Amino acid sequence: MENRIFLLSLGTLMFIFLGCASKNPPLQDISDAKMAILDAKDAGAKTLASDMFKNAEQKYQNMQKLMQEEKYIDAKYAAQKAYIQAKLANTISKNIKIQQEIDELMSEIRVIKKDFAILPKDEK
Amino acid sequence: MRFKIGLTLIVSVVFLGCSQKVDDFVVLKKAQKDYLLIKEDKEINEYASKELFKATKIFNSSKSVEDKKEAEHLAFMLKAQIEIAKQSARDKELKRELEKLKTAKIKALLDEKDSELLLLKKEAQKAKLEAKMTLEKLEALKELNAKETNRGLVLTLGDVLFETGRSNLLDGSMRAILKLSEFLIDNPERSVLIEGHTDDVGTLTSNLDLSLRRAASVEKALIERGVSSSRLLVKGYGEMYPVATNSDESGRQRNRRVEIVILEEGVDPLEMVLENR
Repeated sequence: MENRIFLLSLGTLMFIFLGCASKNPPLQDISDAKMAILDAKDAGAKTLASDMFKNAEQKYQNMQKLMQEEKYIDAKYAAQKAYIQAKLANTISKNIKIQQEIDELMSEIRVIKKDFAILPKDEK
Repeated sequence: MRFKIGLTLIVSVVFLGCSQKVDDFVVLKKAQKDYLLIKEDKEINEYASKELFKATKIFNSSKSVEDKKEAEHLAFMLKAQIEIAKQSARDKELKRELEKLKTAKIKALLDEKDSELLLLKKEAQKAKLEAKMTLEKLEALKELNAKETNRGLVLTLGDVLFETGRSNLLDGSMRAILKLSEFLIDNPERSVLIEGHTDDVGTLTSNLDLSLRRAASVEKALIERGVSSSRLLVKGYGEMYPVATNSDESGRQRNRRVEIVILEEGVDPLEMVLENR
């Protein structure tokens, strides 16, 4: 009876261990993270959102280390974090670019309106 | 008994390692709270629905999490996704602002061009009006028997407009002087050559003197009416350039004259004096 209980408990433990550790490398997450980092780089995140972009790259490097150690769950988390930070860096960079465009336009409009103001009043 | 204690110990260690109550996960709770706030945000719902949906998925996963590491991970992911949703909404807002500004720039440029065009139109109208007035005044001068020559428009003040044998202008000359001064004030680029002439009666020097004094009288009258002296060149030729015979009175009267040569714009009077031609 005790042996049966022991075996059952051992089986449960094995199940729990298997549940806690994934056997498969998170290839899709890695691929997504890599693509997101490249996209962010193309969007100018390296300079426009440098801290965020650097963090994404560091997480990606960390993921590579974890993969070598075959810690796939941690690697998956690191890849997902790299992905989401790259996405955020990308979005922030795009916004900064638009804001710069807006500032330039506003400055151009100010110059046009200033020129316009130079014209005699009765010419407007 | 030892077996039971050992088993219990192993099971406890495993459960403690793999699970923990979600209430203990402060960071995750904070991220969940942030999610619930942005979920109600009108702009994020309108402009970043896709990113909000992704956040909702993470949020839903985080509700049933029991593993601390996973909870920390999902907290990180949820927090980042919330920020992405906010930035995406901002992106849409900025793009709308950009479009508005592009339109505003086009409008400002059009307004400026319209104003420039209006200014040019007014300048053209003004120039046209000025040209018309100049032409009218030129015509008025022609009415005073001014003649077009290769030196310019020549207006002749005859002998009858001066006191006999003297240089004083008579009242009859004033109409011509007035029209001439008006024309010259309106046309500041034109200079005038005032040349006095006489018949051959009397000595050469007295004739030269009279012709010069008569030309100077005309110059003085023009200056008094506002014409700059720098535009006027006075010459006295005496009897040197007759336009008719001096053998009869009619011819001599025609020779006693002051010729006012209105030069073309920008022409130097010295180039047009009779002795240089």
